[in-house]
Amino acid sequence: MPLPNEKTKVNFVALFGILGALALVLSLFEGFLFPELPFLPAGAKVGLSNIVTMFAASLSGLPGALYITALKALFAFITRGAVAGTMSLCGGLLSAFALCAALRFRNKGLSFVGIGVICAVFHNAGQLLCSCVLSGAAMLGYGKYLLLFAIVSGSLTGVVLNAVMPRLDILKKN
Amino acid sequence: MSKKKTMDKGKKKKIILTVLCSLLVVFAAAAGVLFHEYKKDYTCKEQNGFSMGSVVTVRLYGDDTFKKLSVVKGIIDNLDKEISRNREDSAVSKLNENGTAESAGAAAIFTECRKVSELSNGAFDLTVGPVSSLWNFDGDLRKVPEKSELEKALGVVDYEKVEVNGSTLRVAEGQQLDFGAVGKGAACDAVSDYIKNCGAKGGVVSVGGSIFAWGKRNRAGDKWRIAVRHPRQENAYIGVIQLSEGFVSTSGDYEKYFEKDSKRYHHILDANTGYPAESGLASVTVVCDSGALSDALSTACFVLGEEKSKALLSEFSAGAVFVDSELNVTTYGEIDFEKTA
Amino acid sequence: MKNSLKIKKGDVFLIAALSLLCVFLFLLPLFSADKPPVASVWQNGEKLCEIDLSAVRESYEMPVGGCVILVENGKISFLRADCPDKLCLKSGALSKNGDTAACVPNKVVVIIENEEKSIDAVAE
Repeated sequence: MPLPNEKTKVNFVALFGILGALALVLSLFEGFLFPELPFLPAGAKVGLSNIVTMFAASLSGLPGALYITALKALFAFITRGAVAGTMSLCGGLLSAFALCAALRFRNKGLSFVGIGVICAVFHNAGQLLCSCVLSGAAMLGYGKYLLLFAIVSGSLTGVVLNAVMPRLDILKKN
Repeated sequence: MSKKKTMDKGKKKKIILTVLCSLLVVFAAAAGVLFHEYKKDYTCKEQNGFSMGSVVTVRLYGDDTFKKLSVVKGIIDNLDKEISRNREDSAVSKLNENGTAESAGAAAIFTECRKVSELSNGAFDLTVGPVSSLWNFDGDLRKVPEKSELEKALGVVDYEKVEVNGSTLRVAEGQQLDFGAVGKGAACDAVSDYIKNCGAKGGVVSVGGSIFAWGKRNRAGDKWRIAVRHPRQENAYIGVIQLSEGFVSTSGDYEKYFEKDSKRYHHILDANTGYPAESGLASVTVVCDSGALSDALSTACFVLGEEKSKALLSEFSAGAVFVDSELNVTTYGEIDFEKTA
Repeated sequence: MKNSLKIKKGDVFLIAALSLLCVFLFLLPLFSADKPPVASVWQNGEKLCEIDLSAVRESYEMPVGGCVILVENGKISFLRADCPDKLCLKSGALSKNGDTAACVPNKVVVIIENEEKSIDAVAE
């Protein structure tokens, strides 16, 4: 994705402002949906807001994904503390890179469903690794739950994006 | 493009179906796992220590700190300093030596246990000290005392001669108070308030086999499972009691005993005869709402035997598990007991 | 439509593979339903070590305080103790979940426990 030209800069900034807000709202919403799932390591999240990360990445590649990731991590850091912030950052960074790699296969065997699952799996893997570093290798036992949730939430994210993306393609042309 | 689409229609359906099925499987697994995890979600911390001459185990659920044992031990040590016969400076030692002593703790325990002595017609008696000294089950003298010695010692065994006035205890000449039979249960009583207010959601304390259980072990509120030791096998259970809150004590003939002329002499003495109780029981486990009482009742029931125990137990709304010497198990009262297969 | 945004073969394979992996991970504990007995040795209220008894190939002796503990395949027992009452020796070999032996004078406790303990305490 080429950088936006002068004309669309304003649109671009506005769009990413909205995306950032959306990511934070989804993060919050997720907190209400699953308050402290008992079998997830403290601070780990299912990752509903990945939907925004994926959208941003498909619009402007890695920088967009990293922007949303950083924003989410900062938000988690402020609202839920250092541990949650670190976990969010770890999961977000890993998933952002995986996401951009997976986007190359878009329309070449993978739709957003597959990409979403990859993104979510890496998101949760990042959180798992982070919690292993913080609290020891025993946390690996949570892996299966995190994988399960990655499959479910990744698929959901993908289904939503599959439905929404064609209608939003218009944004790219602006 | 559109031609291809119609061609792929059957295939597409299949693919969607596959995805839906796999999602369904995953969801079903997730639901099962969620429920399972929900039921065992509290963290459990366990610590072991020593106090009152026995192992103290504190197991707390839903609590992340690891420093509770020292407090529990402190509480039990403080009680031990009042009621132990083995400590020279304890209130009970002073009482036995001087005939009078001040101890709010000992007075309260004695008053509570006195009811059991009355209702068991003296079969259970905290003044049995001089007789148990003759048997000396704590040492390694493995001999049956002379009958004349026992009768002389029995002469001063009478809980009715002990006077309690506020926190002042007074015993008659030659009398010896011995809280050994109820000390561990009283220790459970002493720590119960702390356990309830220490921030944990539930906990189990065991002081040398006398148990206090309280609160929740998980969000589902599953009951505590307290095993009853097998009276003839080490490290085996004869069954499991389930309860949501309460005190559990067992008296058995397997704790301290010696055998002579193919007869088992155990440490639970009938305060009326001075000899080890012969009620045909191997162990009695009592569940009630006070630790000292459950200790006293298990001893009294062991001495009285199953039939005579029932009136006593109903007086305290207590439940019991009786194991006789043929290992037949019977229960009394409202008690959730399951025998081990 | 520029992008055909339908579920693709790759998606299905990916999800199927990950689901299989997931199911496998969840079923894993079922295959090891008979959890191996794990003995923990405590001294002065502190956990000294945990021993997976099923993984013991050759029995060995472990001195703790004034006691010597014998560790064997599937069981653990007090072998010697310098205390006067020797009650710990009478406990015999521990092998089942919940089994406990203690040497009170030396403040040494051996407990067999698994992650999911079915017994909270033993009345004795």
